[in-house]
Amino acid sequence: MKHTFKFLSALALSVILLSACGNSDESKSGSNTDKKVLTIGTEATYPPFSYRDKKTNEITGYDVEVAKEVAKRLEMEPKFVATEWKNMFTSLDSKRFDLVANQVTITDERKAKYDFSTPYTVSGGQVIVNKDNKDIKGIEDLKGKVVGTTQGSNYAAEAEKAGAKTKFYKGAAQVLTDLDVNRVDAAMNDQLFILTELKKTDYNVKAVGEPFNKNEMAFAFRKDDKNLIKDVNKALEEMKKDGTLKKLSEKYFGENVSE
Amino acid sequence: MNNLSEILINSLPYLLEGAVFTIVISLVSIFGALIFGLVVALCRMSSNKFLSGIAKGYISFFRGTPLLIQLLILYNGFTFIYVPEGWQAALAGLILHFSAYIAESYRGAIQSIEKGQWEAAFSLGMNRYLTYKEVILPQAWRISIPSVWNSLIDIVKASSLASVITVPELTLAADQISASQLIVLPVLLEAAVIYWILTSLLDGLRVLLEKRIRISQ
Repeated sequence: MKHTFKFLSALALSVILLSACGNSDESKSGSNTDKKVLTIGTEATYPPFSYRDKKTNEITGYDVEVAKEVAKRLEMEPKFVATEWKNMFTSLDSKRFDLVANQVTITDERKAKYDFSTPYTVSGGQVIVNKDNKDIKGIEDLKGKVVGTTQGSNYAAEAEKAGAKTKFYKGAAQVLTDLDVNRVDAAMNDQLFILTELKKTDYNVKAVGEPFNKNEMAFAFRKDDKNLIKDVNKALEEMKKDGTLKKLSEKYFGENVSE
Repeated sequence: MNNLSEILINSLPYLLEGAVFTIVISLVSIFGALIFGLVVALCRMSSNKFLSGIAKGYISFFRGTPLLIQLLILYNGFTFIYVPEGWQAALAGLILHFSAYIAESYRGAIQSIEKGQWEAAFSLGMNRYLTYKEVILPQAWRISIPSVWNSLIDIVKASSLASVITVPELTLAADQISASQLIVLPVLLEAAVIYWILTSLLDGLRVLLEKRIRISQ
């Protein structure tokens, strides 16, 4: 019986410790006292926009750095919450974070439920196929083919519009792995992702056709958050004016994709 | 070209950070489930119809539905009352889910002890509580070890499902690294080896424990 009490007290202790850990995360005590925290939802699985650095394992990327700079200008402490894409908007709804920084494309469906900042990326989607594939040359050839995509992404909607069957994956890496071995016929992704990241990999895949649409990406917010959106837009405006955004864009893409 | 060994070595500290989360969550869930499982088992065997009914329903639900669904319900289902952190939902889910299994392991062990021992204890003037405490449980917990340990090892492995609800444990760490580097298999193998080491250590603990409590024939 003595042992049971030991176990019980150990359990109680660990729970207390754990909750202490949880709390210390939120109330970033230390040097930056009284700074309000800006919580930001992001995947951390979508290079070059949001990923973990090879050396430091810190979350970084184009969108992450833009969000950090915005937080700095709002005199807030940025805190990133790594969340799978399919849970991103439900987590925004339940206030797990204040905004999403993850190459969120502005679409009419999303605008009905959420508000967006001014865009900080302009890009387009492209079709990716296995290098050995000869019969898919663009989005118009996807009818009846199987396209690998992530749940709730706007590429899933594009694929369905093109008459393709969709197969859902956790993230881009899993889609490419399957495309590599021909378990899906095609994938779709941001041309910026294709230009920067896909080149570095050993996957036996290629992009085909011209970009099939023109997308504007922005931060997504809850509808009721008017003040925050105003502040963020002001910060983005300044960053466009003083060249900070251009600099970040060139760092990641070698060109200015912010307008 | 990715330099594979460089990626594996660079990602190790981050994976180990995730492993620490896996270990803490597993240990707390193990303690929680061992204790709560006993409560459920005793309710299940209680002569009180109401208590045993609740315990039956509990076991039926938590053994009969997938842990992943339970975790998602705990994480997203009650946000209008309280928005739980991922680790809170993970601990609650793992403890609730595995208590149902462990309760049944305990029940099997308790019921394997002969009726005659109850009668003997009662004839010595012990009440139910004393009989449980002094006669039944000291024998039953030994008998329950092999099947309870199955559940404990399952807890370590099942904690990987917490990756879906943003808990930065080993599987999520592996996911994020493999996605960031766009290479999948080597990082997953690395994570698998770490899990294997953890579960082997836990099983080593069982071997030690069984050695210590072996009753000399």
